[in-house]
Amino acid sequence: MPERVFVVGDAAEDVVAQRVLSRLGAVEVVNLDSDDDPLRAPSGAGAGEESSHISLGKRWLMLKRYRGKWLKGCPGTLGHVCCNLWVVNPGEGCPLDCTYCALQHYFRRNPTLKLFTNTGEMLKEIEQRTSAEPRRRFRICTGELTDSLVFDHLTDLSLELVPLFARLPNAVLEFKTKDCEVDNLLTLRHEHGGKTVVSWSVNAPEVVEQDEALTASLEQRMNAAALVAEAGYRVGLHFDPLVFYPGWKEGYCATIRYIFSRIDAENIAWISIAPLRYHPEQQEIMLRRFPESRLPLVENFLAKDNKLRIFQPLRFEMLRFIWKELHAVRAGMPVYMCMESPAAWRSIVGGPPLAGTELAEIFSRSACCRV
Amino acid sequence: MEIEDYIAEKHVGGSLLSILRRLEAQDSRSVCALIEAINPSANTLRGLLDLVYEICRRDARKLHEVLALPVVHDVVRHEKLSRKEKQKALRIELEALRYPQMNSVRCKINAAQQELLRQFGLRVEAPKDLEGDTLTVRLSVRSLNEFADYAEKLKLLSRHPAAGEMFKLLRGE
Ligand code: SF4
Repeated sequence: MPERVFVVGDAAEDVVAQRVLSRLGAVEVVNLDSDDDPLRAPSGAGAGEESSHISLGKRWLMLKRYRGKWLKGCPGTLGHVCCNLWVVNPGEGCPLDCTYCALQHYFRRNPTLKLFTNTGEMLKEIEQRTSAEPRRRFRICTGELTDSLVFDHLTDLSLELVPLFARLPNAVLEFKTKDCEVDNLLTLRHEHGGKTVVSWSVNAPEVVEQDEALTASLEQRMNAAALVAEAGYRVGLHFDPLVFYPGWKEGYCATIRYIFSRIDAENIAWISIAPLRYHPEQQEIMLRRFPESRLPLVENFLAKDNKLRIFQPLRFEMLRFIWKELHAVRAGMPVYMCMESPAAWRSIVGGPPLAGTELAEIFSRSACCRV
Repeated sequence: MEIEDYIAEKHVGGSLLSILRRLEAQDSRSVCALIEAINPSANTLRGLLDLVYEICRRDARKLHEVLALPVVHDVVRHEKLSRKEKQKALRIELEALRYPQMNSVRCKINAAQQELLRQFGLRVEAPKDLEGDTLTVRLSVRSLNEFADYAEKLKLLSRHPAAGEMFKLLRGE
């Protein structure tokens, strides 16, 4: 729960802002005229100052209107195979606190959590854009710059998004979360029309325990996944980031076994696997904010896309292992590698995702074509 | 030599200065001994200490314990190496400690590469950062006969286990 809420100008008139404030109850509210982040770091700020602001930013919340374009293609990464995801961001930043979170670095200069109060405009833009290109299939995720569900009990955004996507013939919605708050989704069991996929980021038990502070436990996540699956939603899984540590094979096997003891493989829409990678400047932030974490000390190198990545032979070994384990659960499991090189596809799967068709097929088979 | 002498002589500032001034007594003695043995610039020392600190943190060791490891000690006390050579060798040893698996793969790739060079006179190169699945062989020829010679050698090389090993290592198999 935020300790302090900033409401910017006109946002105070929006229903979303009023709803959030009423649900937060007794919380310090500050009205602001300016859009500027109250924790905006001066340009010369060092990693020390930035790190303490990042931690404070997770306890402050700004309610403001968003003024840009809502629907964007996922930026992907240079020289890597892209899964053609689209993203909308109903907010920025996340109150959960994973050691490896890229948002720490991305929002290091404006780290206050943000919720946008004009999300009605977001819904309109999604509807207009998808209907303007009826032949294109859109897979749209809300979890790029925040956790998709962690604020849902404050905003009720899912209550608007899910029915909207049920009406859109060529789009599927993906929520991506490490939370277990699915009450709103359960009330929509007769309205989602199979067009919403609820995805959980999952990891080996040791990683969840040591590097994913404040998130729901794997058990809580899978309890929630079992509930939404029972309500007819398809479930996505993101093994992201794959982390190397002594005993990683046993750890990931245990997670895979546990997941499929709780949910039926038939309910899986897609599974992504993606080894740890992050911007080199993030290393300093991680070392300062999480002095106990071993995660910044894995065997990584600076790749051409200017990200620290686990060196290839080890990375491919991990990808191959998880790929095989998932396919041992069910042949034809819809697995893809997120932001990996064409060499990874050749070495692990035996060939590139032929001109995008394999991935396109996974995504269309999983949700859009079911309606 | 005292740490303060080094700080003054090399005009040490920024983060290295605060690292050197915060050293505990035993760590400080080890760093002084290191400085005397290899006379590093401030930048070189900073790079070496970064590696040492990452190893300390990963293995829960003290700085002086890492500097006392036999592989490190042997380089620092080596009688035939110049100071510059010691700096270079020390960096290699510390990187091997910090990245043991990467180092092991590189050593195996080098061994396979040497084997192919010895047997066929051909240098087969893996990507520098071990990223990708392409091996490179460069040829220079002065005649068509040399082409034919190389074609024969390449055929044999393609069946040699060391060539297969290089691909396997790159792919993490
Ligand atoms: S749940 Fe996701 S967005 Fe939130 S801190 Fe963790 S990695 Fe970042």
